[in-house]
Amino acid sequence: MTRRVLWVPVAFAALALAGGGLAQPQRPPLGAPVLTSTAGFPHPHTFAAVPGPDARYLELVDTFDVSADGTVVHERASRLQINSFLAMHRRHGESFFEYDPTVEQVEVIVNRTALPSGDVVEAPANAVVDDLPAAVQGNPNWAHLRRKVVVHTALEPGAIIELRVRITRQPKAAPFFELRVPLAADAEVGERLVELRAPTASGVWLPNGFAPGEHGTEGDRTVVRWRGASLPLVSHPSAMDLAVAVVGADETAVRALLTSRMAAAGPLPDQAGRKVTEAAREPDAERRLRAILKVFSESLRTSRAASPRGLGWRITPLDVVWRSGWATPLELAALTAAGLRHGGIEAVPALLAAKPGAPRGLAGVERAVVAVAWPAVAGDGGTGCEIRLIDPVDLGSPTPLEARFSDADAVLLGDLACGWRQPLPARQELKAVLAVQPDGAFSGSLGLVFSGAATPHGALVEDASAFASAAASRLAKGTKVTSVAVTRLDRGAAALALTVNGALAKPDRLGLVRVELGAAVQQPQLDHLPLPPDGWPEAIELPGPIESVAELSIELPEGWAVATLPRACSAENLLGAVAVAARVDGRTVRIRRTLRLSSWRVEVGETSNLRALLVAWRSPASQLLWLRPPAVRATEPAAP
Amino acid sequence: MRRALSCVLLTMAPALAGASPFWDIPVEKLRQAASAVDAAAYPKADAVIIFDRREVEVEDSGLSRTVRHTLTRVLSPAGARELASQILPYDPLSADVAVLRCRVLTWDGKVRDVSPGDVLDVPDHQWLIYWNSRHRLVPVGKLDPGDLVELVTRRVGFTYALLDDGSEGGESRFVPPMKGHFYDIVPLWADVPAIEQRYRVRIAAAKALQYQIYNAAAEVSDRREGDSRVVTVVVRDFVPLDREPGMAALSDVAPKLLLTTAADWNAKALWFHGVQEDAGSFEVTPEIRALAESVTRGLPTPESKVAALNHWVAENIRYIGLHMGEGEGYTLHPAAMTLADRGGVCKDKAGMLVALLRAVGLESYAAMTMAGERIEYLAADQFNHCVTVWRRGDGEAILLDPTWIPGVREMWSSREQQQEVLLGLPEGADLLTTPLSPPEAHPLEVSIRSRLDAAGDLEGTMTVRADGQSDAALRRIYRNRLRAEWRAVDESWLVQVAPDAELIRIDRPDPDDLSKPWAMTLSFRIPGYATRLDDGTLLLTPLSARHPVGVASRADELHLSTEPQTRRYPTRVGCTRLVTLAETLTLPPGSRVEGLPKEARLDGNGRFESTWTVKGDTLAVKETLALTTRIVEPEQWPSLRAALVAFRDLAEATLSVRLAARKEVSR
Repeated sequence: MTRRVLWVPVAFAALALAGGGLAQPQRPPLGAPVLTSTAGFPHPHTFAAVPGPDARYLELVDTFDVSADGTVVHERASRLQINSFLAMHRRHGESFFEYDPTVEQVEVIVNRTALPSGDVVEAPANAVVDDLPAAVQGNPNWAHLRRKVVVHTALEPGAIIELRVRITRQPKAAPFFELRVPLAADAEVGERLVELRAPTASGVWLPNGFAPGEHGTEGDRTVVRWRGASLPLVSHPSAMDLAVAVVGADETAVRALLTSRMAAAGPLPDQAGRKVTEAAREPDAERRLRAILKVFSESLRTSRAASPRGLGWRITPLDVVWRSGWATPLELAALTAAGLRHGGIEAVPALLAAKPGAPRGLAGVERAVVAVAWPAVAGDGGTGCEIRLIDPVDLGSPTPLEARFSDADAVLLGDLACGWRQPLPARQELKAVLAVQPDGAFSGSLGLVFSGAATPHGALVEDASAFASAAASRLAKGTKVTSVAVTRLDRGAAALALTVNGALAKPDRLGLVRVELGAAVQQPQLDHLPLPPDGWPEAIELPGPIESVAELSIELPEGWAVATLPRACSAENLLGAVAVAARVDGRTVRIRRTLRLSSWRVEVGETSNLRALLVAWRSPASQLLWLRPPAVRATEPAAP
Repeated sequence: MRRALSCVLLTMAPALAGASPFWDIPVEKLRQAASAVDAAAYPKADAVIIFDRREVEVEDSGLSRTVRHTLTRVLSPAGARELASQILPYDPLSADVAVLRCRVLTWDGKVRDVSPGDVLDVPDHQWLIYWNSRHRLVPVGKLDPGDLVELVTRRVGFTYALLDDGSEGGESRFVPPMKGHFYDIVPLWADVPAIEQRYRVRIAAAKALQYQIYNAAAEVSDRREGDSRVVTVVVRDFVPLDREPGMAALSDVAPKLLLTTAADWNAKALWFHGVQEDAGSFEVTPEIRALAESVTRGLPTPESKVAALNHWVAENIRYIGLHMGEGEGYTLHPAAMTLADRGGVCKDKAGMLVALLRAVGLESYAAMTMAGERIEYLAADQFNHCVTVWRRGDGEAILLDPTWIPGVREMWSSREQQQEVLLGLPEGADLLTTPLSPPEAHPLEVSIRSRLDAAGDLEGTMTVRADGQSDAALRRIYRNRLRAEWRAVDESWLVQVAPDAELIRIDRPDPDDLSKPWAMTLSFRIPGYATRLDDGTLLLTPLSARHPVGVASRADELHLSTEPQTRRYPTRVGCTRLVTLAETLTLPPGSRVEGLPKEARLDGNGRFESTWTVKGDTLAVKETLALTTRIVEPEQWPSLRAALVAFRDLAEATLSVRLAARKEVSR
């Protein structure tokens, strides 16, 4: 650039050029004659909240009627009482129904509010609006999708929102129908009913692992009902019990259909193929894999929130996807798998459960990934290869999916004759051996060992030095890595040996040096978890089986003393264990800090176990080491 | 889905006129223009705008048509993904936009046309305001670094749907309701560098166009062509601003151009007043009168009536935007409609309050403002928010904001201090700036009486009192959580700094009850709060100094970044605020305290005072921090920063408490 923008506000010479009495406008004066201070005004209590839960479905009913021609009529009827400010103003003012207008129709049959006075107020016509689902914003291939927004009006505390909506799905939508409805909701539910009616001749498949239904027949129709009463609210959809049934197909047939859809999406576009060929020139196999993956993740913008199920498992032809520059996760998985095959790496699109151990099979899957056949190191069952799972939307994810998910959590849309590794708990081990100099500088070694789902395989393949630097900087701010050796690296295990140097914090006003250990052994997955008090209303999702061990050995120079060690603590229960131990051997401080979490979920009523572990893990005193350099070492005897 | 068919007709217009439009540039010249730009000069940019040219024609009616021609070079894969589709938003009732041309000049010398017929017309994804806004989605397609994207669009109309009666066809619905007038607000900033940004407007010379450029230097031409006036503004070599944490809105500090034919704000205020009165937005129906009388029954003063009605609207009219069809925009929904829906956006809540106030005989009007951004003193419409004015018997105008005061013990939210406002009074009004709200109006007082035993356990009571916006910040935490989670909120005041704290008892008010300032008292015990050192002394930071309530409520005084030593741009805090932390800590008998920090006293935009003293066995902590303005100018920042740093340093300051030997104790 030859010129720079001047950042000084310009009074604009043009006004002078324009001439003719265009005076420069002035800013209004601060504190102009308008009053905003309303001191002395009373503040009456004007919101008459109703006691009890924030909101409660008195009744929540979903019925699904499948005709012989494949038409499905879904009716939702609900009566929801709102009691609190939160319920009325934030949580329950609108209902949303996403749909595909090319195959579905949404009719709002009833949208009214029954007031505590007994009056019933019908919502006006402009309270029903069609807009675009956020998940496909900007994606031209899916811009035809719509969301029906039903705004509830005349709300006041104690009012009951009465809603009845009918969604009719045409037979051409899909050759089978999958019912998949949470029994619980985002408010307590008094009475819950989900009902399916379908021609017996169509076949009704009830996958295992989901909420059990009452199964019967009425004439030539199969009727399945799921009932519930007094259900607690559930905030996270993944934590909800689901009513699931499939009409018109079984697991094998559905899988065959989805596989055929992948094939029907067409071959890899030529231009993509050329890019893959270019990327495949990378001689190192791991880097070649990542280079091909990046061809797609860097070329295409992804509608990340567009779930494969939400889009009816449909896929746009791959050449259209490539040309548009936009993909859904399922389309990206299909395209990436095709690209990998083009580059000589066997791969197929796959569908994966939201979390390990969820109900198995097609009915349990949620997200699209790529399954890759990779030469096995060992334990492949003689196939010579093992399966890697890669989320093409999130290549930055440092740890391998297949270390968390088993074959039972995944459905491959194609054939890969490879073995699966057994998922292993995420385990990380840190061993630091540091020697402190009299001036507070330190140097030493740092050993990092990872296994299972904690293995930062992707990050180490990408840039081991950057990973090492980040790990070292958590020991103490400004710590530098002087050497890195990756002593082991595969998908399920990795080890690094570093040498480092740095400096402890300067002594504070009391002459003490504060050493914080928490960052060195951080478990960011635990940071967002609530510290649940007694009576916590719902189950809590956990990051899964993890184990973390940190051992620090710090050799102090002559004259330095330990003012206090990290406070020892331990907690152990059915959910896991936390332990912190520290001691001094001569001039060496030895600290061991461990965490073990054995579950994916804490049920209501068991949250005190989580609290006990988190309290111990987060305890500030167990994370601090205080050192006393010689200049101010205490000379007085200790108090009793 | 509708296709943008109108573009076919639009593209014919210049041909019929016999002149080549300004945007019809041969590909070679476009490549030439792009090649003059050194992409290496922008190593961090994902794209660079080679040029962005707008030609605006204003009709006598005030209707404007803007043709915009942009050429953008893709510099990175991220830029390629970002530009793969382009969104052109519009409100169908007041504007339209069409694509005249879109083509990609690829890095390897090819040209790919995107047919205007492939442009999609799509509803926006909406949230809370369901006004049926839409956008044209331009499917540019997959790009590579080095590609050039050329886009030509034609926009007609205004940003807001105003008082069109819907009876006229064609483009008449795009004529602004302030008949014959034109305004434009032109951001001259972007997320990527822009080599040339040009804006040219042709308007009848008789219309007294005023304009001003802010925060940039520009080349300007302002000349007559027959009966027209042609103004051209060119800003060159824009580079994206280096963002500063907590900085003021971009529109306050980035380059922009404002244009208007409105003589002054008074004219706009008169128009705004007339629009609402003519539309009957504040008509008092029997239902509204009955409600107003019911809410104010027995209240003795106008102030008490105003307060009751303002809070009633704030708490009982839900913020939700339903589209009433013609007139949406600057026209406030009829109050009867808002009451029936029990919902509306800011303007509708403001109008509801006007009607209720009038129903009890109080003089009231609507007013416009701009939340979060500055309104410049050029009468281009820069508004995003609507509030209410009560004109008291003595003629004083008092601002009321029923949208921003749910759960707030104020009539007007002090989060809107130092903000411009235009009152829609019958006699008109000039633009005003709301005055500062002193920090003393928003106190947060945390008082702790605690006792430390020789084992290092701490127990005591913590009393928290707050008012104004500080009260609202605490109340909001409860009101935004499920009641079943309130126990966790109760605990959060302590466990965020001391996870093993035991909450023994809490007394706190109903968060919905605004009649009294927030006051809660917690009894607590924290085992092992102090750390025992090798010499037997106890090490601790007084609980009050760690500001546990501020930590739990993510208070500005703890979270506003102090990383910048100096700032180029103003900083914006949530509200002025006065924080007082006090603790009386009873120590084990005969203890000796070491490491007391010195008294501090800082003045300026941030005022801070602290004293930590020991008298006998009692440690007394007193800290006072005042954030004195909501907008902090760059020259005021060092003072605020110094106060915040000093305040936060004390949260880490440790004391040693040397316990008395046994015989000393017995003595």
